[in-house]
Amino acid sequence: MKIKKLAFLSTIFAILLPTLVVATVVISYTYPISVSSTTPEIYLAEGPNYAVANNMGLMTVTNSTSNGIMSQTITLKNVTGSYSVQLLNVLSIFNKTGWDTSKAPVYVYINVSGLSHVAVGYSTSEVNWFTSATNITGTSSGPIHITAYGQQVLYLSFLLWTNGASSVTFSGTVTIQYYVG
Amino acid sequence: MVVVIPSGSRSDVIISNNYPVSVGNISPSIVYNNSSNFPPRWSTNLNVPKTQAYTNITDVWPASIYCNENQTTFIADSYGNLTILWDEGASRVYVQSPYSIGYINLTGATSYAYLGQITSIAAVNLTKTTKTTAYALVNMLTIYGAVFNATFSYTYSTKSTSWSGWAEITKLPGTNWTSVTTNLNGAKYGYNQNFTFVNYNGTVYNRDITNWSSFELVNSYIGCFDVFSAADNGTYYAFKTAPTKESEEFQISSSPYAQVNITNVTIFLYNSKSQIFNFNISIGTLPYHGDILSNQTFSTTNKYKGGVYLDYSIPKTKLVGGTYYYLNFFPLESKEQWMYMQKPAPYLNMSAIMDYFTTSSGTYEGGGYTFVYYLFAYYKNPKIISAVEFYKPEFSGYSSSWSALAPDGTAGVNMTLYAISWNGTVWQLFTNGWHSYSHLFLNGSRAITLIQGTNWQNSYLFIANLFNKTNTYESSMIEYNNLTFSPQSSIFSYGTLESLSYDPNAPYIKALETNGTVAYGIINSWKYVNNLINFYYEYPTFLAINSTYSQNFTANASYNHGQLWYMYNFTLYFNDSAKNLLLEFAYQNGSSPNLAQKPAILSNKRGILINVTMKPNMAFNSKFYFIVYFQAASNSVIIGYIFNIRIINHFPFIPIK
Repeated sequence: MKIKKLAFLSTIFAILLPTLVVATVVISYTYPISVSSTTPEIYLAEGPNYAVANNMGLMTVTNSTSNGIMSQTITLKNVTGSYSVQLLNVLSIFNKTGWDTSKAPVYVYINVSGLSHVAVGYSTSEVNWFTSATNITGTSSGPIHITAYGQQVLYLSFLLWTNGASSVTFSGTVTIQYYVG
Repeated sequence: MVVVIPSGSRSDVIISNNYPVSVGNISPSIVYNNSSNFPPRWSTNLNVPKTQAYTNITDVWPASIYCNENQTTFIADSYGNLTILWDEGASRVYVQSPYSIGYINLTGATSYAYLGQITSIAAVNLTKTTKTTAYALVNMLTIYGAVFNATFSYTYSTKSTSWSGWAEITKLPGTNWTSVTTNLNGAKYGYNQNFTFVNYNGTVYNRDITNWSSFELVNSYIGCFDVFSAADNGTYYAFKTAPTKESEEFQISSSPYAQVNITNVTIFLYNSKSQIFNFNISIGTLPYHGDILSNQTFSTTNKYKGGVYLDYSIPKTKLVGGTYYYLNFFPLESKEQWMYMQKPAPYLNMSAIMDYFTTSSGTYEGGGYTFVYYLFAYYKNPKIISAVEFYKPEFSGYSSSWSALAPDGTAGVNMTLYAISWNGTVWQLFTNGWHSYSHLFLNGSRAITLIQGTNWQNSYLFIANLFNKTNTYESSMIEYNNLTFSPQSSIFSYGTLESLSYDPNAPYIKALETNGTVAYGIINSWKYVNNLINFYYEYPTFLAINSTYSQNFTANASYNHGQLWYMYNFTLYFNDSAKNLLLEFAYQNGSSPNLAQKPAILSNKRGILINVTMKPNMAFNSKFYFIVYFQAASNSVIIGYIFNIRIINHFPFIPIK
């Protein structure tokens, strides 16, 4: 980890030095940085009830893989004429860092912005009613602690309501931040 | 993306992801189906994407009672089911509604078509005084003006009965037909008999016994003379106003009056507190305009309590015949806030005295009553909800447009029609329209009948209120034009009153309660009979709720009962399509409703049926709110729907909510 930080700072100096210093001798070092994808160990994925919701046309996530949902749009559908729609345990946040204590503890922050008539809730176990989940009412939840060996999963549920509107079209963002403390 | 690093954190790695969320709509997951097996007595906004789905069910309740002059009592419910009682209720016959057993329609074909709620029933005895066989002609009136006709007879000795079957005999124009009545005892005294039909706007049709197929238009006045007092000087014209400013339209008759000069205005004010009255009066050609007579400010120097007449002079104001004007009343600021009366009713009455008027043939001074009666053509809806007919000799100055012969064969006996409005105004029909005789200052007046004496002079009007524990009112003798009413005891201490009828044979009054109880007796002394009529209405499968998804669902219903106490009995069943009982919600008068939330399984059959039985107790709207949650397997998806059932158990022309 510290090596990566040094490489990052060195690169910054390499870029800035020519503009700041008039030197007769320049010694230049090159530190190649290799960027590649790796299998995430903390990620958002389809929850246990996603398939039912998706089958009913109530929810779709794009670019979903076995290793998570890669920052793509989550599409929810309200049901015209309904009082409320509860999509329960349809998303999950996994922590698969295992017993590696250097990667613990893992915390999750969930920010919800721009959504109207949609509530997002999380729970550490599957819920059978939305109010059993913790409603994220502000801009941020948490911190929510996910252990790697006990509580490995957070479940996300959605509540949609229209207050009688025959048609709703909203958009917003759910931002999920994971950090290892 | 905004990355928020929690303060004080020791984060080594932060991974942030944004997930844009889009929310749209899809079609409902359930479909309401109300097309099966339900009579046309409901309206709905089901399957329309609105705030809440609802179903209005217009219930059936005992609506009208009528006693003829041969000891027979007819009780009709609002669907047309008829209960006939004689021998003081010892014998009875039930006749099903024309909508159930069919009727001969105007084209001569058998029909079951729904022509509206039955609002009123009346019957005349065709066999007069014979006691061997009673033969009655029965007319039932629907709210849309259809009239069902039938005959009923029974033989005293054998107790055998016969029924002719229903026939539709006319369709009166317009709607909100509220009352049918007869000139009771007309046969007994040898007068012509007739049915008289009255609607909410005051239109009157007459059906004379001598020409059954003819319906004569007696009164087509949409408006009425709102005469506060029909005293012989005939100079009081009343205007009822709201407790705030009011503008009342009136018209000076175009003939014979070319011009009217007004010099006085008499107002009648009412308040329960002793207070000073401050107000402005103006007259204009538009509401609240004073272009004919600008604001005249008046204030009482003394405090008044209760009703008081106040006479004020105004500048002579010329009004042209045939022209519409507006008499405006503006309450002024007052510490006492006298305009906001709570009880007995928030009404103000204003009267204009005409001291001078001009006819097309000359100018008169002094306002002789002969003319003043016809001075105003004041158009106002009398809002009649119940009427009663009687015969009495013709008075000079006014007459009705149909007449009968006296027993000695001489002319001059009129059929006189009285009526009542919800607000307590008592009306009598004259050839130039309805005249009001009295104001009871009491909302809720529901029914009127006439207590017959040995002759017309000593007969009395009797008025009952819809609300229980509310005074009835008895008039002074109808011999006098200026009727006064005195309060009497209430009839029912529970439920609501629907109808009154005077039984000349007993003699006593019969009153019909919304739940079917019949009270009988004389004023201030009542006895009660239950279970005279057999009504208990079931609405099988009035609504089906079907899932549009292939998944199995479980429905849970959560109830919030609104005015449940308006129903004597209310039971709601959820069945699956195999008629298996899944959920029951029952309420009996006085018992606690079962409000438990229970699941109704939709597995495989994917639908539930809602069935209701009900029996109204009071004439109000009863409301029931339901939130039904449809749960997919494993509680993965729960979709909630709200729908309301509103039970309407009173006629729409009765202004209660």
